[in-house]
Amino acid sequence: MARITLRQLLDHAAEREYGVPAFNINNMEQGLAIMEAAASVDAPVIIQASRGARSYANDIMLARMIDALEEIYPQIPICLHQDHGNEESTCATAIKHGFTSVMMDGSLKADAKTAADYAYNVEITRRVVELAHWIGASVEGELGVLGSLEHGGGEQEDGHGVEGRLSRERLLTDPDQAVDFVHATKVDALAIAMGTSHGAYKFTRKPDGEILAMHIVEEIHARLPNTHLVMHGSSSVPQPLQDMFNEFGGEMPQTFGVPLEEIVRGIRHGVRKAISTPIAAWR
Amino acid sequence: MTAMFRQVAVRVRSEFDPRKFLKPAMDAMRDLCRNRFEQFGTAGNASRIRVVPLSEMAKRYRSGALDPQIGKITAAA
Repeated sequence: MARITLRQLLDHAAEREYGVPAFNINNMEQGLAIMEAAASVDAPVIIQASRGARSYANDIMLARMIDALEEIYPQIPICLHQDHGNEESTCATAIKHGFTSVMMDGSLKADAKTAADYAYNVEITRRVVELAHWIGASVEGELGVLGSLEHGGGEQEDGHGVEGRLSRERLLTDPDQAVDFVHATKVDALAIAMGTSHGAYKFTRKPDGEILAMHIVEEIHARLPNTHLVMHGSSSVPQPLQDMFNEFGGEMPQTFGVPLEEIVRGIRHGVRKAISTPIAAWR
Repeated sequence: MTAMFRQVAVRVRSEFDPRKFLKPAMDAMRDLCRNRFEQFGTAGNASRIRVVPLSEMAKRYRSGALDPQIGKITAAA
Protein backbone atom coordinates (compact mmCIF):
# COMPACT_ATOMS: atom_id res chain seq x y z
CA MET A 1 0.00 0.00 0.00
CA ALA A 2 1.35 3.33 -0.90
CA ARG A 3 -0.55 6.34 0.43
CA ILE A 4 1.92 9.19 0.19
CA THR A 5 1.75 12.70 1.60
CA LEU A 6 1.82 15.71 -0.69
CA ARG A 7 4.93 16.94 1.10
CA GLN A 8 6.96 13.82 0.47
CA LEU A 9 5.80 13.58 -3.13
CA LEU A 10 6.55 17.22 -3.94
CA ASP A 11 9.91 17.08 -2.14
CA HIS A 12 10.77 14.22 -4.47
CA ALA A 13 9.47 16.15 -7.47
CA ALA A 14 11.58 19.18 -6.49
CA GLU A 15 14.68 17.06 -6.04
CA ARG A 16 14.25 15.50 -9.47
CA GLU A 17 12.73 18.63 -11.07
CA TYR A 18 9.41 17.33 -12.29
CA GLY A 19 5.79 18.32 -11.76
CA VAL A 20 2.79 16.27 -10.71
CA PRO A 21 -0.62 16.73 -12.33
CA ALA A 22 -3.53 16.65 -9.88
CA PHE A 23 -6.78 15.15 -11.09
CA ASN A 24 -10.17 15.68 -9.50
CA ILE A 25 -12.30 12.65 -8.92
CA ASN A 26 -16.00 12.07 -8.29
CA ASN A 27 -16.54 8.49 -9.33
CA MET A 28 -15.05 5.06 -9.91
CA GLU A 29 -14.49 5.47 -13.63
CA GLN A 30 -12.25 8.49 -13.16
CA GLY A 31 -10.22 6.67 -10.51
CA LEU A 32 -9.68 3.64 -12.71
CA ALA A 33 -8.68 5.80 -15.68
CA ILE A 34 -6.12 7.84 -13.68
CA MET A 35 -4.56 4.73 -12.19
CA GLU A 36 -4.40 2.87 -15.47
CA ALA A 37 -2.54 5.84 -16.96
CA ALA A 38 -0.21 6.12 -13.96
CA ALA A 39 0.63 2.43 -13.94
CA SER A 40 1.37 2.45 -17.67
CA VAL A 41 4.11 5.07 -17.25
CA ASP A 42 5.24 4.45 -13.62
CA ALA A 43 3.97 7.82 -12.34
CA PRO A 44 2.97 8.74 -8.77
CA VAL A 45 -0.46 10.41 -8.60
CA ILE A 46 -2.32 13.18 -6.83
CA ILE A 47 -6.04 12.43 -6.69
CA GLN A 48 -8.07 15.25 -5.24
CA ALA A 49 -11.65 15.61 -4.13
CA SER A 50 -13.56 18.84 -3.72
CA ARG A 51 -16.25 19.37 -1.12
CA GLY A 52 -18.75 18.83 -3.93
CA ALA A 53 -17.16 15.48 -4.78
CA ARG A 54 -17.26 14.38 -1.16
CA SER A 55 -20.96 15.11 -0.86
CA TYR A 56 -21.73 13.64 -4.29
CA ALA A 57 -19.93 10.34 -3.77
CA ASN A 58 -20.24 10.21 0.04
CA ASP A 59 -17.07 10.28 2.19
CA ILE A 60 -17.21 6.58 2.95
CA MET A 61 -17.65 5.57 -0.69
CA LEU A 62 -14.83 7.87 -1.73
CA ALA A 63 -12.50 6.55 0.95
CA ARG A 64 -13.19 2.93 0.01
CA MET A 65 -12.66 3.67 -3.68
CA ILE A 66 -9.21 5.01 -2.96
CA ASP A 67 -8.49 1.98 -0.77
CA ALA A 68 -9.47 -0.21 -3.71
CA LEU A 69 -7.29 1.71 -6.18
CA GLU A 70 -4.39 1.36 -3.78
CA GLU A 71 -4.94 -2.38 -3.53
CA ILE A 72 -5.22 -2.79 -7.32
CA TYR A 73 -2.07 -0.70 -7.95
CA PRO A 74 0.17 -1.22 -4.89
CA GLN A 75 3.24 -0.03 -6.84
CA ILE A 76 1.83 3.48 -7.44
CA PRO A 77 2.13 6.06 -4.63
CA ILE A 78 -1.23 7.84 -4.26
CA CYS A 79 -1.64 11.22 -2.59
CA LEU A 80 -5.28 11.83 -1.67
CA HIS A 81 -5.79 15.58 -1.36
CA GLN A 82 -8.71 17.78 -0.25
CA ASP A 83 -9.19 20.43 -2.91
CA HIS A 84 -10.15 23.92 -1.63
CA GLY A 85 -10.97 23.22 1.99
CA ASN A 86 -13.08 26.16 3.18
CA GLU A 87 -12.71 25.78 6.96
CA GLU A 88 -11.02 23.70 9.63
CA SER A 89 -13.72 21.02 9.89
CA THR A 90 -13.55 20.25 6.15
CA CYS A 91 -9.83 19.59 6.50
CA ALA A 92 -10.11 17.63 9.74
CA THR A 93 -12.81 15.30 8.41
CA ALA A 94 -10.85 14.76 5.18
CA ILE A 95 -7.87 13.54 7.17
CA LYS A 96 -10.18 11.27 9.16
CA HIS A 97 -11.26 9.68 5.85
CA GLY A 98 -7.74 8.90 4.70
CA PHE A 99 -6.68 12.10 2.94
CA THR A 100 -2.92 12.59 3.33
CA SER A 101 -3.08 16.24 2.31
CA VAL A 102 -5.50 19.12 2.58
CA MET A 103 -5.83 22.51 1.05
CA MET A 104 -6.92 25.23 3.43
CA ASP A 105 -8.04 27.99 1.12
CA GLY A 106 -8.16 30.95 3.45
CA SER A 107 -8.13 33.41 0.55
CA LEU A 108 -11.90 33.10 0.80
CA LYS A 109 -14.08 32.97 3.89
CA ALA A 110 -15.90 29.79 4.89
CA ASP A 111 -18.75 30.57 2.47
CA ALA A 112 -16.18 30.05 -0.34
CA LYS A 113 -17.46 33.23 -2.00
CA THR A 114 -16.24 36.22 -0.04
CA ALA A 115 -12.64 37.36 -0.37
CA ALA A 116 -10.97 37.19 3.06
CA ASP A 117 -8.33 39.54 4.42
CA TYR A 118 -4.70 38.55 4.92
CA ALA A 119 -4.88 38.24 8.71
CA TYR A 120 -7.83 35.85 8.47
CA ASN A 121 -5.98 33.73 5.90
CA VAL A 122 -2.82 33.49 8.00
CA GLU A 123 -4.68 32.60 11.17
CA ILE A 124 -6.95 29.86 9.79
CA THR A 125 -4.20 28.34 7.65
CA ARG A 126 -1.81 28.30 10.60
CA ARG A 127 -4.36 26.43 12.71
CA VAL A 128 -4.97 23.80 10.02
CA VAL A 129 -1.22 23.32 9.51
CA GLU A 130 -0.77 22.74 13.22
CA LEU A 131 -3.50 20.10 13.31
CA ALA A 132 -2.45 18.34 10.09
CA HIS A 133 1.22 18.20 11.02
CA TRP A 134 0.44 16.56 14.37
CA ILE A 135 -0.89 13.67 12.28
CA GLY A 136 1.76 13.91 9.56
CA ALA A 137 -0.56 15.15 6.79
CA SER A 138 0.40 17.99 4.47
CA VAL A 139 -1.21 21.38 3.90
CA GLU A 140 -1.49 23.56 0.83
CA GLY A 141 -2.37 27.20 1.43
CA GLU A 142 -3.52 29.83 -1.01
CA LEU A 143 -2.46 33.43 -1.23
CA GLY A 144 -4.20 35.78 -3.65
CA VAL A 145 -7.64 35.17 -5.05
CA LEU A 146 -8.14 33.07 -8.18
CA GLY A 147 -9.90 35.03 -10.84
CA SER A 148 -9.69 36.43 -14.31
CA LEU A 149 -7.47 39.41 -15.10
CA GLU A 150 -9.65 39.91 -18.18
CA HIS A 151 -12.73 40.93 -16.25
CA GLY A 152 -11.64 41.00 -12.61
CA GLY A 153 -13.99 38.27 -11.48
CA GLY A 154 -13.82 34.73 -10.23
CA GLU A 155 -15.73 31.81 -11.62
CA GLN A 156 -17.74 29.42 -9.53
CA GLU A 157 -16.81 25.76 -9.67
CA ASP A 158 -18.53 23.26 -7.43
CA GLY A 159 -19.86 26.25 -5.48
CA HIS A 160 -16.34 27.59 -4.95
CA GLY A 161 -15.00 30.86 -6.25
CA VAL A 162 -15.09 34.54 -5.44
CA GLU A 163 -18.22 36.55 -6.21
CA GLY A 164 -18.06 40.14 -7.38
CA ARG A 165 -15.16 42.04 -8.89
CA LEU A 166 -11.67 42.46 -7.47
CA SER A 167 -8.74 44.69 -8.34
CA ARG A 168 -5.84 43.29 -10.35
CA GLU A 169 -3.73 43.59 -7.22
CA ARG A 170 -5.88 41.14 -5.26
CA LEU A 171 -5.94 38.69 -8.15
CA LEU A 172 -2.16 38.37 -8.14
CA THR A 173 -0.10 36.93 -5.31
CA ASP A 174 2.36 39.45 -3.88
CA PRO A 175 5.81 37.80 -3.75
CA ASP A 176 6.92 39.52 -0.53
CA GLN A 177 3.67 38.66 1.19
CA ALA A 178 4.18 35.05 0.07
CA VAL A 179 7.41 34.89 2.06
CA ASP A 180 5.67 36.24 5.14
CA PHE A 181 2.73 33.86 4.67
CA VAL A 182 4.86 30.72 4.37
CA HIS A 183 6.92 31.77 7.37
CA ALA A 184 3.83 32.46 9.49
CA THR A 185 1.84 29.36 8.54
CA LYS A 186 4.48 26.70 7.72
CA VAL A 187 2.45 25.42 4.78
CA ASP A 188 4.02 22.66 2.72
CA ALA A 189 2.78 24.02 -0.59
CA LEU A 190 1.41 27.34 -1.77
CA ALA A 191 -1.25 27.93 -4.40
CA ILE A 192 -0.66 31.25 -6.08
CA ALA A 193 -2.92 33.52 -8.09
CA MET A 194 -1.63 34.63 -11.47
CA GLY A 195 -4.76 35.18 -13.52
CA THR A 196 -6.07 31.62 -13.72
CA SER A 197 -9.63 30.90 -12.65
CA HIS A 198 -11.83 27.96 -11.84
CA GLY A 199 -14.06 26.01 -14.15
CA ALA A 200 -14.06 25.44 -17.87
CA TYR A 201 -14.13 29.06 -19.09
CA LYS A 202 -10.84 30.71 -18.31
CA PHE A 203 -9.67 32.93 -21.10
CA THR A 204 -11.56 34.32 -24.07
CA ARG A 205 -8.35 34.52 -26.06
CA LYS A 206 -5.05 32.65 -26.04
CA PRO A 207 -3.52 34.05 -22.85
CA ASP A 208 -0.57 36.45 -22.98
CA GLY A 209 1.39 38.24 -20.24
CA GLU A 210 -1.44 40.73 -19.71
CA ILE A 211 -3.93 38.09 -18.55
CA LEU A 212 -1.62 35.28 -17.41
CA ALA A 213 1.06 36.62 -15.10
CA MET A 214 3.71 33.91 -15.31
CA HIS A 215 6.35 36.31 -13.99
CA ILE A 216 4.66 36.01 -10.58
CA VAL A 217 5.67 32.34 -10.45
CA GLU A 218 9.26 33.21 -11.19
CA GLU A 219 9.40 36.01 -8.62
CA ILE A 220 7.93 33.87 -5.86
CA HIS A 221 10.16 30.93 -6.64
CA ALA A 222 13.21 33.18 -6.45
CA ARG A 223 12.20 34.24 -2.93
CA LEU A 224 10.96 30.83 -1.77
CA PRO A 225 13.09 28.28 -3.60
CA ASN A 226 12.13 25.48 -1.19
CA THR A 227 8.37 26.02 -1.17
CA HIS A 228 6.32 23.92 -3.55
CA LEU A 229 4.14 26.11 -5.76
CA VAL A 230 0.73 24.99 -6.96
CA MET A 231 -0.96 26.18 -10.13
CA HIS A 232 -4.74 26.13 -9.91
CA GLY A 233 -7.04 26.74 -12.82
CA SER A 234 -4.58 25.04 -15.15
CA SER A 235 -6.99 22.34 -16.16
CA SER A 236 -8.32 22.82 -19.64
CA VAL A 237 -10.79 21.61 -22.18
CA PRO A 238 -8.67 20.05 -24.92
CA GLN A 239 -9.64 21.59 -28.28
CA PRO A 240 -10.61 18.25 -29.91
CA LEU A 241 -13.01 17.63 -27.02
CA GLN A 242 -14.51 21.11 -27.28
CA ASP A 243 -15.05 20.40 -30.96
CA MET A 244 -16.52 16.98 -30.27
CA PHE A 245 -18.78 18.38 -27.55
CA ASN A 246 -20.23 20.92 -29.96
CA GLU A 247 -20.31 18.59 -32.97
CA PHE A 248 -22.64 16.26 -31.09
CA GLY A 249 -25.20 18.79 -29.97
CA GLY A 250 -23.44 20.61 -27.13
CA GLU A 251 -23.12 24.36 -26.80
CA MET A 252 -19.76 25.19 -25.25
CA PRO A 253 -18.37 28.65 -26.03
CA GLN A 254 -14.78 28.73 -27.27
CA THR A 255 -12.46 28.74 -24.26
CA PHE A 256 -8.70 28.78 -23.81
CA GLY A 257 -6.90 27.08 -20.93
CA VAL A 258 -3.38 27.72 -19.70
CA PRO A 259 -1.13 26.64 -22.58
CA LEU A 260 0.86 23.51 -21.84
CA GLU A 261 4.16 25.29 -22.53
CA GLU A 262 3.35 27.82 -19.79
CA ILE A 263 2.71 25.05 -17.27
CA VAL A 264 5.98 23.39 -18.25
CA ARG A 265 7.72 26.76 -17.88
CA GLY A 266 6.16 26.97 -14.42
CA ILE A 267 7.58 23.56 -13.55
CA ARG A 268 11.05 24.93 -14.31
CA HIS A 269 10.30 27.69 -11.75
CA GLY A 270 9.04 25.77 -8.75
CA VAL A 271 5.53 24.72 -9.77
CA ARG A 272 5.28 21.15 -8.50
CA LYS A 273 1.55 20.53 -8.65
CA ALA A 274 -0.78 21.65 -11.43
CA ILE A 275 -4.48 20.93 -11.46
CA SER A 276 -4.94 19.11 -14.75
CA THR A 277 -8.45 17.72 -14.72
CA PRO A 278 -9.41 17.35 -18.39
CA ILE A 279 -12.80 19.04 -18.40
CA ALA A 280 -15.40 17.62 -20.82
CA ALA A 281 -13.44 14.41 -21.00
CA TRP A 282 -14.16 14.37 -17.33
CA ARG A 283 -17.50 15.83 -16.52
CA MET B 1 -16.86 12.55 -19.70
CA THR B 2 -19.62 14.42 -21.38
CA ALA B 3 -18.05 14.95 -24.82
CA MET B 4 -17.78 11.18 -25.25
CA PHE B 5 -21.31 10.66 -23.91
CA ARG B 6 -22.65 13.02 -26.54
CA GLN B 7 -20.77 11.26 -29.29
CA VAL B 8 -22.12 7.82 -28.31
CA ALA B 9 -25.63 9.16 -27.84
CA VAL B 10 -25.69 10.71 -31.32
CA ARG B 11 -23.82 8.02 -33.23
CA VAL B 12 -25.42 4.93 -31.71
CA ARG B 13 -28.97 5.96 -31.09
CA SER B 14 -30.10 2.50 -29.97
CA GLU B 15 -27.43 2.30 -27.25
CA PHE B 16 -28.78 2.07 -23.70
CA ASP B 17 -26.01 0.28 -21.76
CA PRO B 18 -24.28 2.92 -19.55
CA ARG B 19 -21.00 1.03 -19.82
CA LYS B 20 -20.94 1.69 -23.56
CA PHE B 21 -20.97 5.41 -22.74
CA LEU B 22 -18.52 5.19 -19.86
CA LYS B 23 -15.85 2.98 -21.38
CA PRO B 24 -14.88 5.33 -24.23
CA ALA B 25 -14.93 8.22 -21.75
CA MET B 26 -12.55 6.31 -19.45
CA ASP B 27 -10.23 5.52 -22.35
CA ALA B 28 -10.11 9.19 -23.35
CA MET B 29 -9.35 10.23 -19.77
CA ARG B 30 -6.64 7.63 -19.43
CA ASP B 31 -4.91 8.92 -22.54
CA LEU B 32 -5.12 12.55 -21.39
CA CYS B 33 -3.74 11.64 -17.96
CA ARG B 34 -0.90 9.66 -19.50
CA ASN B 35 0.02 12.65 -21.68
CA ARG B 36 0.22 14.89 -18.62
CA PHE B 37 2.43 12.42 -16.72
CA GLU B 38 4.79 12.41 -19.67
CA GLN B 39 4.68 16.17 -20.31
CA PHE B 40 5.34 17.06 -16.66
CA GLY B 41 8.15 14.53 -16.21
CA THR B 42 6.16 12.57 -13.62
CA ALA B 43 6.50 9.34 -15.60
CA GLY B 44 9.17 6.95 -14.37
CA ASN B 45 9.19 8.27 -10.81
CA ALA B 46 6.73 6.02 -8.94
CA SER B 47 9.26 3.21 -8.55
CA ARG B 48 11.90 5.65 -7.25
CA ILE B 49 9.79 6.57 -4.20
CA ARG B 50 9.74 4.72 -0.90
CA VAL B 51 6.65 5.99 0.87
CA VAL B 52 7.15 7.50 4.33
CA PRO B 53 4.13 6.75 6.55
CA LEU B 54 2.13 9.53 8.25
CA SER B 55 3.50 8.63 11.68
CA GLU B 56 7.07 9.17 10.49
CA MET B 57 6.09 12.43 8.77
CA ALA B 58 4.55 13.59 12.06
CA LYS B 59 7.85 12.93 13.86
CA ARG B 60 9.75 14.91 11.23
CA TYR B 61 7.40 17.87 11.62
CA ARG B 62 7.73 17.72 15.39
CA SER B 63 11.53 17.75 15.14
CA GLY B 64 11.44 20.87 12.96
CA ALA B 65 13.16 19.05 10.09
CA LEU B 66 10.41 20.05 7.67
CA ASP B 67 10.08 23.71 8.68
CA PRO B 68 10.24 26.18 5.80
CA GLN B 69 13.82 27.35 5.22
CA ILE B 70 13.04 30.91 4.31
CA GLY B 71 15.38 33.07 6.38
CA LYS B 72 18.50 31.24 5.33
CA ILE B 73 17.56 31.12 1.65
CA THR B 74 16.50 34.75 1.32
CA ALA B 75 19.60 35.91 3.19
CA ALA B 76 21.75 34.00 0.73
CA ALA B 77 19.81 35.20 -2.31
